[in-house]
Amino acid sequence: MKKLSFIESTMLPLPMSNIDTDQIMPKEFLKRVERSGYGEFLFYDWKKDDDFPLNNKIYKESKVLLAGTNFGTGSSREHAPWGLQDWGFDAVISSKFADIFRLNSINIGLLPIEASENIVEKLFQKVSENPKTKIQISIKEKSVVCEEIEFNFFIDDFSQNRILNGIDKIDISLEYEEKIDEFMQSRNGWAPKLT
Amino acid sequence: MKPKTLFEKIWDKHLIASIDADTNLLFIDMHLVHEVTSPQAFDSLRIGERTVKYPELTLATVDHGVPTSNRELGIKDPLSKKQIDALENNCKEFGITIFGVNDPRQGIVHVIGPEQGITQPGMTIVCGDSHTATHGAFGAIAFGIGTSEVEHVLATQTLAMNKPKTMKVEVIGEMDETITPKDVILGIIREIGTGGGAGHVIEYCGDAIKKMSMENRMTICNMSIEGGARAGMIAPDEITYEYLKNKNYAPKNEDWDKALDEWKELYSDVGAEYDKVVEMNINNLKPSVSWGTNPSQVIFIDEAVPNPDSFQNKSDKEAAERALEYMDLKPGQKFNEISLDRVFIGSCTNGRLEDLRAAAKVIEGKKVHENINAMVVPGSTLVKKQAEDEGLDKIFTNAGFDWREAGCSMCLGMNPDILQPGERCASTSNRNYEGRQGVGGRTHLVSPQMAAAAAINGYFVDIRESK
Repeated sequence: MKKLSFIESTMLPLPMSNIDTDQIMPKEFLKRVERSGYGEFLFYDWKKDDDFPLNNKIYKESKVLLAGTNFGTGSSREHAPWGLQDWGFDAVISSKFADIFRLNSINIGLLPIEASENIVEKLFQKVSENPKTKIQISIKEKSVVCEEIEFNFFIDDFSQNRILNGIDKIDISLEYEEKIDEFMQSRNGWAPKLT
Repeated sequence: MKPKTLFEKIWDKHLIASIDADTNLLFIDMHLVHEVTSPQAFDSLRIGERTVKYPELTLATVDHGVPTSNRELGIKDPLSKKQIDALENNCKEFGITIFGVNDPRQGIVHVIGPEQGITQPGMTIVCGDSHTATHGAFGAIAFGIGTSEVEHVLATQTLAMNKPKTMKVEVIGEMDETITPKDVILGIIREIGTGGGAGHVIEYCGDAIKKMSMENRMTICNMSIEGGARAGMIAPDEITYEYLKNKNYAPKNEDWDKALDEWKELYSDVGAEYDKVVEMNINNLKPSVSWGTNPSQVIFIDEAVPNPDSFQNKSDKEAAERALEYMDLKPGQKFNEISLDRVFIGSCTNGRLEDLRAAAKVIEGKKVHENINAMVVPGSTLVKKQAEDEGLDKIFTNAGFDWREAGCSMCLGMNPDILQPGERCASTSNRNYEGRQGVGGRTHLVSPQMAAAAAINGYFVDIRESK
C-alpha cells in the first residue's frame, strides 16, 4: 500500500452526490486481471464530456478530490480506488463515504476524509472562487488546513499507522495465526466445508 | 447479562483477538469467490509467497462474465475468457473448490450459497461483491469486501476490522399479493436514502418479514447495500430451518439437531439496543418503479415523475435534475406514457425460483409486446433446471421471452447482455446507475411481476389493476 504522511495540493471538485463506483470505474475495465493501469479508465464515460473537471488542465496536479455526499456508493470494486490513485489522487474529501469504498481506499493508501457538510460546502466555495486554492493534509495530526478553514478528521489509529508506514495488514493478522488455528479447530464439526 | 442483538451474538462468537481499541480480528466461516474481484488477490498471494489458509472454507464460481447463451461455443470475449481461465487456474493451484461454467451447480454466487446449504445461520460470510448481504437472510453476518480484503481472507481466514453499528428496520403492516419484497426494500431505500445505512448492519424485523419465504427474505437483505448498509440480516426461524433441511451442505442427522439447538439462540434479546431504529409501514405501499439513477429515486406506479424542485435538499434536487436528463423523463409524466424497449428478469435480487414463478404467473397465455425484447436469466443452473421441471421455461418462451443460462447477465452487463444507448429497460435487478446495464442505457428497477406485466404491455402497468 502507498505510504502517505502529508499532502499539499489543489482540489478537483465533483459536487454531485451519490457518485457510484460504476461511474468511477465502469464495468468494462473490471475484466482486466492486472492490478495497475486503471487511471486512464477513471470516470471513463463522464470524461467524454469536455467540461468534466478531470479534463480541465487547471486541476491536472490535484491530489485531492472534493466530492459530493455519499461518494463511492454501490459496488465493492476496489478498481474504483485503484483508478483514483493511479490518476494521481492521494485523498478524497466528502461529507459521507460508502462503507466498502472507504475501506478499500484505506487498504491501498488512498485517504478518505469525512468532513461536515458545512465544511465541504465551504471548500467547494474556495475552489470555485480560486481553483488554485491549496489544501494541506497531515495524516500524522489527522488535520486539514485550507486558508482559514481548519478541521480534524477521524481515522482509527490502526488505519492511520498503516497509511503512515505503508504496513500490510496480512502480516499483522498472521501474528495471530495460532489463535486462528485454535478457532478453526474449535468450530462445530458440522460447519460447512468444501473439501 | 446485557441483552445482545443478533448481530452482536454472531460477532462476539467470531472474535479471535483485539488488535487495538477499534480493530478486531474476526474469523470468516465462508469465503465466496468469483472471477472479477479475485485475480489480483491471487497474484498478490503469489508475489508475497503466501498460500490460502483454509481452502475448504472457500467456494468459487463464475457468474459475472459468463455468456448466457450458446455456452457450448465457449467464451468469445477474450478478456472474460482470460479472467474465467485465471480463476479456474487459481483454484487448481490453491486447492479451492470451483463450480465452473459447465458445472450443474454453477450460478450467481449469492444464489448458489443458499441453494447448496452452504449459507447457514450464525456464520460469517464474505465475498468480493457488495450483494453478499443476501446471505444475511439466514441470520448470518454477510458483507461485501474489496480485492485487498479478498487476499486477506484467503491468506488468514480473518478480517481485521472495526465493529459496525447496528440499525433495526421494523417492518410494520401486512403484505398482500400485489406487494412484493422488492417493493418493500425499494420502499425502505426510498425512506432512508442510499447512504442511510452507512456504517451500520441492518436487522430487518416485524411480522411481515417473519411471514416471508427464504427467497423473499433474500431479496430484502440483498439490497441492504443500496440503502448504504454493508450487511442486512434476519433472525432464523422455522422457515429458515425448513429451507435448509436436506440441502447438500446442511448438517445431517444428529448434527442437524445440534445445529438447530445453536441456531435457536440466534435472535435479538428483548431490550437489546440498536444504534438506530427505523419503522417502515408497508400498509400504504404500492407497486414501485425507480425513475432515476440511484435506487432511492423510486415512486409508486400511480405517482407521477417528480419535479426536482420538490426536493428540499440542494444535492437531491441537483441529482434529480441530472437523473431526469439521463433518463429522458419529464416531471409529471406517468409511467403508462413511457414506452419500454427491454425487459430483464434475473439477478441475485430476483433470479430465484419463486421470482420466476411469480413472473410466469403474470405472463401465462400472453405474448410479449412486439416492441419489447425480453429475457429471463435464472440465478443458477439449478434454478434453471427446477424451472424447466415445472414447465416455466415453456411459459416464458411461448410468450416470446428468451430463456437463458445462469449468470449475472444484464444486471451489470459484463457479459454480452447489455442495453444499447438510449434503450429503456424494466429490470428486476438492483442498480439503476447511469450506464449500469450498458452505456447510455436507462434502467427502471421493479419486481418480477411488474417486469412481466411491462413485457406484455410495452410500458409499465399497475399489476393491481391488470389482475
